[in-house]
Amino acid sequence: MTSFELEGNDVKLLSDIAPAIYLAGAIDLIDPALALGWRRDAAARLAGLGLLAVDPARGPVAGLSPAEIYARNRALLRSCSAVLAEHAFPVPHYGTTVEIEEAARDGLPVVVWTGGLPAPMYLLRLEPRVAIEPDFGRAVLLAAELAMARVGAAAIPAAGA
Amino acid sequence: MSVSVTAPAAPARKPAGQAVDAEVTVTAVLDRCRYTSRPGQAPFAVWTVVPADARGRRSGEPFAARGRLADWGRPGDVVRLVGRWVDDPRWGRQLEVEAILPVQPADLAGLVRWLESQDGIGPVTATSVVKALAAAGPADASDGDVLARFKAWVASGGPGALGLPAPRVEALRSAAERASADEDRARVLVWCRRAGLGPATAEAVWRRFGREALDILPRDPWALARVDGVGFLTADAAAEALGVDPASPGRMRAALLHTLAEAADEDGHVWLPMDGQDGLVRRAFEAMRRVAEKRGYGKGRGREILDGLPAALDALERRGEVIVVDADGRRLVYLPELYHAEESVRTWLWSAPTRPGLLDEDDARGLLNDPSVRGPLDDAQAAAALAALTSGVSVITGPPGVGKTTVIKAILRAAEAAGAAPEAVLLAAPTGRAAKRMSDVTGHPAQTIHRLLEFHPSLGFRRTRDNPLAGRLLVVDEASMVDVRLFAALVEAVPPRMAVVMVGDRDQLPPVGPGAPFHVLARGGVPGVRVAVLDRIYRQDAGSAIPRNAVRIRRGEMPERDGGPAWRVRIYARPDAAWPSKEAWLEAGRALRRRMADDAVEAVMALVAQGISPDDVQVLAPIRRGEAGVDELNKRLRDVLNPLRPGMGVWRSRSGATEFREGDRVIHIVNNYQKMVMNGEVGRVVAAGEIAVDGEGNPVSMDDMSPLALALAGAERIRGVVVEFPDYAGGGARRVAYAADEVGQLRLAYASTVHKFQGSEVPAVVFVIGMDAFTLLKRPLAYTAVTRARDSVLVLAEEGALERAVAADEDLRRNQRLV
Repeated sequence: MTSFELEGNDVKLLSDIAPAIYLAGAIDLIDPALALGWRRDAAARLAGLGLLAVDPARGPVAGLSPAEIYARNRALLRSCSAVLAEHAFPVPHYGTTVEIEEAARDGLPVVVWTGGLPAPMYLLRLEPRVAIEPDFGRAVLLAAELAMARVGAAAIPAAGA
Repeated sequence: MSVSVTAPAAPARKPAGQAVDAEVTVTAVLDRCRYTSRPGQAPFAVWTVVPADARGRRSGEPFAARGRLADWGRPGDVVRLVGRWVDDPRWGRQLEVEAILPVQPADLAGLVRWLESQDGIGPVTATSVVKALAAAGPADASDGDVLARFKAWVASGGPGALGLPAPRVEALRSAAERASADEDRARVLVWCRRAGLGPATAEAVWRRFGREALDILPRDPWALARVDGVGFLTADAAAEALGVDPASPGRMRAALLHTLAEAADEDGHVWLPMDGQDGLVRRAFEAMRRVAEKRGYGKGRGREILDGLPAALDALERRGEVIVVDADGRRLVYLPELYHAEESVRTWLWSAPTRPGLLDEDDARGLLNDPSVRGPLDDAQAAAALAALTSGVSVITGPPGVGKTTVIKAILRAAEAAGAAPEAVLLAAPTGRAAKRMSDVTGHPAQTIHRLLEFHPSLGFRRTRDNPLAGRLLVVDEASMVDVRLFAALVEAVPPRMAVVMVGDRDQLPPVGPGAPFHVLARGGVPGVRVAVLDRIYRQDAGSAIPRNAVRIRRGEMPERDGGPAWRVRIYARPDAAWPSKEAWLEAGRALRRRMADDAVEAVMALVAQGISPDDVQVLAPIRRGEAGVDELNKRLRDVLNPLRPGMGVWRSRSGATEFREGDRVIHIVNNYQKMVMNGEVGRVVAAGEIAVDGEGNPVSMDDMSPLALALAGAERIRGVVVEFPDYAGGGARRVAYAADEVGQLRLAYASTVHKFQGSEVPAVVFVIGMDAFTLLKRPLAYTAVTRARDSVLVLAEEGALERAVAADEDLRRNQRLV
């Protein structure tokens, strides 16, 4: 019996080619312009690098129970290759905390953008499994590099960073 | 009764040939039919009629009445004729009849006759009723009063008090209801006449609104656009005829709804942004500006209209007639139905990572390592099968000839080897033809998505979230043709543990309906959805030139001019001498396209001469109009493939612009859930002109039934056509009748637009592509056209047209928001 490998020359599974990065951050207890603004910016930068942003804030919620939304976002997170998390706005981050903890436990690379705010204690506890980065552009780039490294893809080009 | 019965006094004469006078209503006795058109022709009749008094007695000089109406009645019938007096230069003064209304009894004697003509009421019952009515009120009541008295008497329980048996009581109740309906119908028909609508449209208005028409339409004439076959422009013209203010809020609301519906139907947009150059407000304003330019309605009111549109949109949102969503910094406006459909698809797509695959990775790999399961799959195909077997949602995309069906067969073998019961694996496709092909190739039963979801014409889909499908794996072929509405219905019926594999070709044109969910999925980047792209072409016979050139088109390269017998491209160039005169240049283009149309017909005849069935050859073009457009090609092809013969059944529209003959190949162009005929189905006309239908509108054969037998069977003769469609599920054929007002759902199909033919496949395609279709010349159009052929393609292209189509990599972009 011959074995076959998924990684044959002709194989193209698009979803495997473009690594996805999960965007975690405050959604509810924050000005929507802030919550959505950084996500849009991050998605655009990642798309420029050929990467996919998975933004749970865009997911439909009508008709879903909180448990269903949690299960969905958890599955989305696990389907991604890295997490970019926002801790840059001075609002409660209950859900974000859980997501970062779970991602770190699952072994997913996590980059937390703090915007220069002091990192919460629990994040310091998770270092070095979680990288803390005050600058937004650098946080995005680092998350992209970690995601690419995780799927074994070539290094991202410097241009467009 | 609000319809006035005008005394038939002849008005003063006006100059010959000129239509004179306003609408009149004349009560008259039909005396003698002087002319009537033959069955199958556009209806037209001339009668000698005699004016009648309120009691239906002859009371004046005979005159001529003519009109484009089918059923006038019999000699001796008393009717009310609505029309206008005209002086015909040849025939003299006549009444041009536009509507024939029933006459109601004028006195108690008339009421007896009227009652006797009703089902289940004989002379004895009629006389007793009238006696009871006479006893209860004045015996000499005239005009419409007697009918009103009769209805009031029935409503107050008169028939019961008279001691009549139950069936008679019921018959009297029905008669009273019919009387009301007749009155209402007459009023609606008259209103429609005043609004400038033709008789067929007026009947359609009555069917759609019934007696509520008179409550709704005078306030909001644009509600007419809800009637099948009536668009905003017709409704707008009616409003203009009725003198409604062109800047009224109702008109603005109607224009906005019309614009959204048109954007969905014609451009495939699920929503429109509220603002911006291509936004809803601007588009609606442009639609109204075009009306002002063409007809003058609303001229000079542009600023007022533009300023009023946002408020009209707010009103629509408050009334729940549109849904407005803030997304990505813009306000997106949806028709509610499309919003809910898109939300269903979004919710399902976002749940993809939570959905389990049929098998886990190790089991699937193990099975695909078994040669009896893997079969002839190459690595890419095996990877596609692996993704499909292990993902909750997966996509397999690629052009024809890359082995998508081979992968489906391997998936089915693996599912069977893994112990999945045959009934746990469902196969479906959007069209009957595609489902049949899927069944034939896989040996596993496949059905249309409508059948899978147990669609019922009046109940809708019976498989829903609350009554989901049963099974573990669903494979959908030709998924690129599924629009957002059907996609939503499908995924709502998918239970959480059913894995879904969507198979299609992402380079094909998007669906005819709004949205393009498969194209979004197959582009990749939807979390949790695995996409396998197959692009190695396996076909090695002469026909391999088709996929080879399809791939070239997809890559933006010009296809070969001569790819062997299966692939020919002929380019038509203007003579240089045509320039520099612009008119000469344009005329040269028209002459070129006429030659292309000639050559297309010749090519079809050459194939037929080689013994190929005309049904196996399809002529395709981008647009309907023009010298080499679908309409012109159809006319020419029909003249050679189905020429007019004596005795042939023919249906012609009143204007004579549309004609269907027995034997014509036709395509059905809308989804008709009553008839269960879907957009794009191709059939053959088996009867045209006068046809017979039963009480439910189904065709009845007239050959073996006498008129009496037809009547006994509850059937009636109408004008229309009967079309036979292949019944892919049953393996035979099914016949569908189209009454005169439904024939508009059919078009000739010797030639077709690429869009309408996108789900079909034939052995030979002749693709005619001219520069007059400039704005539609896009890569997916050319790609879709040539991939409809299995064995041979002939492209007849005006110089520059194919080059432009191949070069235009623009997506046929659709506004949708799935991820």
